[in-house]
Order: sequence, then structure tokens, then C-alpha cells
Amino acid sequence: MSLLQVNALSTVIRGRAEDALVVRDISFNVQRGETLALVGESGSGKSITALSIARLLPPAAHVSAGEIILSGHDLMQISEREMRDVRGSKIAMIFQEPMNSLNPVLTIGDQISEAVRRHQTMKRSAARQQSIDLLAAVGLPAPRRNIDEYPHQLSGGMRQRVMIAMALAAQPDLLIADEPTTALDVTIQAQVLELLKDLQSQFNMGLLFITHDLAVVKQTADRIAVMHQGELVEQGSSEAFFAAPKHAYSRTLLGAIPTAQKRQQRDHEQGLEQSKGVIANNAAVGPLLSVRNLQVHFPIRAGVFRRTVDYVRAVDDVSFDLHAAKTLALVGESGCGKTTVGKAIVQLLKSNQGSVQFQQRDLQSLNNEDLRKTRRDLQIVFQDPYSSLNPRMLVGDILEEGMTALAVLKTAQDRQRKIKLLLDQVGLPTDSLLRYPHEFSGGQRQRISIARALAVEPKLIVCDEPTSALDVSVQAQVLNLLIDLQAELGMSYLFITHDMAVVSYLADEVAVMHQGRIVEQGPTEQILLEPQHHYTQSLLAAVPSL
Amino acid sequence: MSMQPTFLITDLLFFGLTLGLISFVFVVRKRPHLSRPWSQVLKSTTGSVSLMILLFYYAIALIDSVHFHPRVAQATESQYQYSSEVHSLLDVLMTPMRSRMEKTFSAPLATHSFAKEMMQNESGQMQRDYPRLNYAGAHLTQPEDEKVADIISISLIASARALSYWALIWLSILWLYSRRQQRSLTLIFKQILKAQTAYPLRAIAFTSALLMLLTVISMQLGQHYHLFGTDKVGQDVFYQAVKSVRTGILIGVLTTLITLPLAILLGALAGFFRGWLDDLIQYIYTTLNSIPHVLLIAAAVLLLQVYMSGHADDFDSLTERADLRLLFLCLILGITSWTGLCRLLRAETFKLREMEYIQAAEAFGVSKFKILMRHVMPNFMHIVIISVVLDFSGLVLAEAVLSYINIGVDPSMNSWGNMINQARLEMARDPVVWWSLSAAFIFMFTLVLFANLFADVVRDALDPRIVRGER
Repeated sequence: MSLLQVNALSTVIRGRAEDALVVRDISFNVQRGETLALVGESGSGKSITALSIARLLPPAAHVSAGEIILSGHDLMQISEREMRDVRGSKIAMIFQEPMNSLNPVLTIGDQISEAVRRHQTMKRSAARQQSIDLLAAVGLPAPRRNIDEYPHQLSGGMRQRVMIAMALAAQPDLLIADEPTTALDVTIQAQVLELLKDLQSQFNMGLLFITHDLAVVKQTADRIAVMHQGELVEQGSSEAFFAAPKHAYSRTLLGAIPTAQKRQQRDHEQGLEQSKGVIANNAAVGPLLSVRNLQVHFPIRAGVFRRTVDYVRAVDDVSFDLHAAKTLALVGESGCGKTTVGKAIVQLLKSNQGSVQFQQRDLQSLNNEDLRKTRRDLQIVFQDPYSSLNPRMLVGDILEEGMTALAVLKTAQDRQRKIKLLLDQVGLPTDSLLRYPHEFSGGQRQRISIARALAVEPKLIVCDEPTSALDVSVQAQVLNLLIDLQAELGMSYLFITHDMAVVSYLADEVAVMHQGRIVEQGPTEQILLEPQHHYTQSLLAAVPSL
Repeated sequence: MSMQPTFLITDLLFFGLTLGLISFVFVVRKRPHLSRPWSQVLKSTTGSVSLMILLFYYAIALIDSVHFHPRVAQATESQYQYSSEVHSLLDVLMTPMRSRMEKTFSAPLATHSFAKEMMQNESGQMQRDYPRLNYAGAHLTQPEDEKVADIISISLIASARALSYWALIWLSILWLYSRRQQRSLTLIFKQILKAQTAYPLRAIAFTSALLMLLTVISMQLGQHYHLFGTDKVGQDVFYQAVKSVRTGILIGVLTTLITLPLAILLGALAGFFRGWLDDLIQYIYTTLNSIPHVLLIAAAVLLLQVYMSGHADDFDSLTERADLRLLFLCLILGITSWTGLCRLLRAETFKLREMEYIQAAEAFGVSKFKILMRHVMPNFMHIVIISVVLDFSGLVLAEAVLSYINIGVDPSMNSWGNMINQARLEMARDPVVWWSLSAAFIFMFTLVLFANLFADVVRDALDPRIVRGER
């Protein structure tokens, strides 16, 4: 008998006009000691499925049909009181954001002991001891000290370990992990995934692993279930899935993952190789952008008069060159200062030391008027497609703003013509002009952001994680758009990312950043295949591969 | 010409504000992202009903803001003489209630005075009794027997008139609508009755019927009786309460108008530029907040009184003096009450400043001023609108409190605060004189209640964090 058996489950979310069936008639099972990965893009209904199993759906949603059988008991039939005992003792959950899942005003120890004492009657001291054991089991470096610390004193990876410890407190039969590593850096992700695997075999748990990342799935899952628009389109063993995905959607999903081979293949098909070579030859005069010993320090202020007592060295001595029509990827984990470098280059942040030479002119020494002129050639595309567009402006006005501010085109008709051209270039319909950003999807919004940067015909675009908030299939479209635009218009990209797959697909050169410094740089292939620095090596080793 | 129009300062401000509101409506109608939340407000029953009632109050205040000197007598053929008194359009509409002064207190709808007096009876003896009122119920010969029947008959006739006006207006509107929509009138009727229309027309029709009934009945009864009785000097309390509407609304609206520029400008500047400017603005509002507001208001009002008694010649009439005092009160209330909103807006600007679209604008070299105007302000306007509507009711109540401690509006000016203040002395009487207090309470309560209900609906509609369906 399987541990968890889901039969013909359907979940409905009540809408204003009509109810939406977000999970349609899905069936699967999870065995003891087995990992089932539930894979799908955002909005596919995978999280709702998990919440349906734990009966933790938001008030607007409810299970409309189906049964959920956990070790022989139908969870849909029991009372809420009994269900509360099931949660925690039989089913445990861990979520994506470890910061939001922990109470910030209670110590780690308080929160774990609470979970421990909920299911067993024991003394405070015994519960504390067991909590320390649990923290040791999930690999916290100093459990005796960590137990009296508050969540904000721990790093993201440690917080996720604490969450796992809490979930394990009652030794559940089934662990539901909803994107547990999405918010973590790759090296931390690798550690957490390994930990989950260890604990699973140690406790003989069933693991329902929900994720959008196929590479992670390949590393962890025994079996895979692919969800698409609320339906389960394919289910099977991990090996069989990756060897030959059956459903068309699974194949698109796999095909959308960027790799260097795919890039070469695509360039070949589109005939891009030649044009790229021509542009590169033309521009072989000198670097377009040359950064030397760049330092950006943020002051730490303290005391009544807020005197500067120390500095956070966000960027500490960074140097690199970027040539025309080339893409340099700036790679690193969160907090390494890569975004700060981007913003300092576009002069959104003041640097403390070093020089930024753009077209042989030092940007920092320019006066305001000259800087404004230079901004034409220097643009930025941001990470979050939701906060990078003013929600109260029409798309047409958003695209026009830069042209007006920098006086690129003098007459309104010229600007309108240019805007239409831009929409065409980024593949948006012409009627987008009179619509508001919220009427577009994440991928379309990112296209608008790109069009906004293109409007002033820049020579360099700093792309700050432009695809990390997007689904993998949308990411592929946006990356291809960037490549095509580069081939067509010949601008350079400084591509800031944490995603090695994107790097291999897009970049000509790579610079790896760690704690504010560039530890290694060179051509993409060289860095990816023969990394020299030990940090690059560990970073690449941590990346789950397909 | 039978009158000489005058414009008090507050009148001009009020008209200006009305024009501003109308143009705001036109601007909003053209912009789909602005009009969407407002149409949602109107689609909710609470929202449209409370808006109607607020507009009704507003209309009373507007009518009461058309001031003029009435003509008194004709000296020669070509020259008119104008009274030094200032009247408003509302005074003309409510003429019998304004001019018919009794001697002293009388209860609502009474025919006899509230206090006994010595008077001569038919046989010539002196006797203490309740005298007949000069005007109320004067048309009755046997008031004790006829009063109830008379009141009912007046009310019934008035109701019939009110309902026929109402039906006429609605029928003509719906007829025009059905012509334009090419749909049959009966179909539209059915939809309204079953509440199947996009906007809650059934509730609006019902509210308008109620307002029409109340207006016509109270105007008709007011011709013959004192609906809410009379006060100490025999003035009609209903008339006072209606006159107070303008004062209440002016205090709410003008004060907000003074608060807004201060709060928006300083809040946005502090949040956007930070640094020493932020420190300075923070120090200003922290200092202002730490002084008791009542103290500031009392000091300011006393200063004004001193000024006015020193420059008595500058004022043509008592009304003008009272008007200036009202304006000054709004000013000082505004200066003391911008801090809360300013603080909110500063925090919101802090947050907005970090949004990537503002950095994108900076990367285009858009000027700071334009970024503030185009990217920051439109994105915190929902907070402004919500707090304006919420503050409004607080200010109406503040007037009552301030009048109670004699630093509110001029005592000669009709206001709910003054009514309550005067009525408080009579609460100890036995039997108690309750009507002044009740009238002020009912009028104020209705305004504040519906302003609050409206604010709730507006907040729900404008708050972007509340996710709602697109339909």
C-alpha cells in the first residue's frame, strides 16, 4: 500500500464572475522512502495541490472532488481537529521563503521546542535537548549557540535547515517541500538537497518535492509528475522521463533550458554566426567599457549623530573590459556585489574609487550635462518585471519617457514611429501602447522593459538578472530576443546573473564575482570547462546538471 | 435688481473647490486606470448611497454659499437701498423658518410655548399658562384637537407631492435612457426592480425617494410648525441645523485643502531627497506634534479676535467677521493636522524611491522634479484620497469640540458645535430641552456616518493590495 494516494483530485478557486478549476482531476501516489517531484511552471497548480493535501487551502479555494488517502485514511473525511494532529505528526511542510515561515520575534529554540512538545509530552529541558539534536541533524554549525538565536541572525540556508528541523520534529511519514531551494544560492541549494536526501533515507519518509527546476528534479527525484494548467500531463520514473519525455509540454519544458549546445545550434539555424563575426571585427578598436579598480562602499552609520563608523565593502576592486557587440556575464551568488557593479556603471550609485571608462571617457569625471548625453548610450534592464514599470503610466508613455528626457527624437510623430518599431522589435502587438503594464504577463513586461532601454539606442545595456523572475519557457524567449537584438543592432550586454545555464547560453565572456571581487574571468567555455579558482570550481560543482 | 450679490472669501473658495471637483471627475472619466476604482465605488450599494447623501449635504452647503444683500426699500426711482444683513439662497428657500421668531423655547411641532407665562384669560383674570406660539400652529382654532390631524394631512399631501416629483424625474431620465439604449422601458424597469443593473439603481432610486420625501415634508411642515422646536431666543432649530451644514462641510473641506499641499509636498520631498531635508521636515512635524493642538488653536483664535476688534471698520457685516473667523479656524486646523498624512507619505515615498522604474527613469536622466511628479506622486495618491475622506469626518467632529470650549467658529454663526454648546446649559432643565442637541446630533451623525462608510468603500477600491477580479 502506498503512503499517499491522491485519486482524481480537483480544486476550485472561487472567482468574482466564475469559479476557476485550478487542479483538474489529478491522481498520483507517493511510497515510503520515495521522492516524487511535482514539476510545473508558475500557475500550473502544483502548490495548490500540496495545500489541498495538507488541507491548508486559502478561504477562496476548496477541494471539489477526489480523495486523498494517507496510510489508509481519507483525509477529506476526517474533522479539522483530527486533521490538526495529522499535520505535523504525519505530514510536514517546508516552504519557499524561510524568512517568512519563521516567527521573527521568537528564538529558533522556542520554535523548534514548540513543534517537539506538540506531539510528545516532555519537559522543557528534554525538549531543548531534542531540539539541539535536531539542529545538529540538519547540519547547523553550532546548534548549542544557534538555538538561542533569532531567525534574522541566520543566513537563508541556515533558516531553511531550521525549517526542515521543525518539520522533522514529529518524525512525519510524508514531507511536502514546496520549492524549498528556489530562494537559495546554488551552493546552499546543493547542500540542502543533499540534506533532504539523507534525512529521507534515515527516517524512511515519503517526499513530495514541488519545483519548477528540472535540473534539481533530476538530482533528487525517483519519479516525476509534470503539471500543466492544472492537469497532470505526464508521470513516470526519472530516468525514463529524462531519456524520452512523452508529452509535448514536457519536451518544450526540457527544450527551453538554455545550454551552450542549443545556442550554437540556434545560431547556426538563424545564420547569426556570420553577422556576429562582422560586428566583432568592426569593433576591434578598443573596449567599449573598461572598468578599473572599482570600489563601492556603503557607510554603516551609528550613534546619535549617525557618524560613519565603518563601511560595507559591497564592491571591492573590480576590473574588466567589455568590447562592442559582446556579452560579458557577471556571475555570482546573492550578496556578492554584482548588482552594485551594474548600478555603479550606469551611475545610479556613486563609486568610491576606481574608474569607469565608457567609449574612452571617464564617466565619474563627467559633469551633469555630459552625463545626461552619455546616458543615451548606457541603459539598464531590471530583474523584477513587476516593479520596473510604473503601474500608473501607459506603455506608450513609458517607452516615450526616455526619448523625451534625452531628446533623442525631436517631433512627436518621429517618436511614435520609433515606438511602433520598438514594439515590433520586441514582439509585442501595436495596440499595447494604450494599455497599462498590469495587463501584461511577466515575460511581456520584461519585453517592455527591454524596449524602453532600446528606445534611446544604447551601445551598452546592463541586464540585471532580467530572466530570473520568469518561467523557464518564457526565459528562453527573452534570452533569444536579447540575442537577436544584439545581432541586429550590435550593442553589448553586461549580463548580471546567478544562473550558470543562462551564462553558457548567452555569454561570450564570464567574470565570476565573490565577496565584492572578481575571482576569475575569461572566455565562457574556458571558465565553464576548466575553472581555475577554487570558488568557481565549487560554484560549478553545485549547479545541478541535466 | 432686487439684491446685491456678495462673495465671502469662503464662498469663493467653495466655488473654486466645486469647479476643481468637477474637473477632477472629467479627468478621471478619461483615464481608464483612474476611473476603474471609482466605478467600482459607484457599483457598490454602500458607496453610491453614501455618495448620494454626501452630495445632498454638499448641495445644501452650495446653495447656502450664494450670498447677497437683500433690497430693503426704494429711496428714489433709480437708487436702491440694500440691507446690511447678508442672506443666502438657502435663507430665501427657508424664509418662513428663518423669519418667524417665537419668544423662547418651544418643543418640536408644538403649538404652545414651553414656559408658562402670566396672561389674561377670556374673563379678564390674570393666569399662568402656556401661551400660544406666534407662528407655529397659528392657523388652528382648537390646536389640542386639530394638531395631529393637521400634521398628518400636511405630511400626506407633501408625500404625494414628493413622490410625484420623484416619479416624474426618474421616468423622464429612464425614458431618455431607454431611447438612447434602444431598449424597452419595461425591460429596464424589470432589471432595476430585480437589482440586475451594473450600478445599484434600485438603491439609488430608493435613496432619492427618501431624500425627496424628507425634504418636501420638512419644508411643508416648516411653513406651519417648528419641526425641531425653537431655541432660547425662539429661533427655529431645524433652520439652524440646516444652516450648520455649510459650516461643517467648509471646515472639513477647506482644512483638508490646506493640509494636502503641505502634507504632499513635504512628505514627498522628505522621502525622496532624504538627508538634511528629511531631517529638517521631520524636526518640524515632530515639534508641531508635541505642542497640544488645542493650545495652538486657542492662541491663534484669540490673536484673530484682537485683530478684528482693532479693525472693526474693515468689516461690512457681522457675517463677514464670522466668515473670516471660520476661514482662520480652517487655516489653523490645517496647519496643525498635516503631520499625520505627511508621515505616511514620507514612508510611502521611501518605498517607492527604491522601485526599479524610478531607477530606470534616473538612468534616462529624467529630472528629479519630473520623477517626483510622474513616478512618485501618482503612486501614492490612493493614500491621499483615503486619508482625506477619513480626516474629513474627524474635522467635522473637531469643530463641535472646539466650539464647546469657545475657540471654534464665531458664536453668531450657525454650527453644530455652537448648537451643542448652547444646548448643554439647558440639559439641566426639568423637563429637559433636548431638541437642539438631538437636531445637531442627527445632522452631524448622518454626515459623519456616511462619510465614513464612503471612505471604507473608497479605501477598498483604491488599495492596490486588495486583489480583485478584473470584471
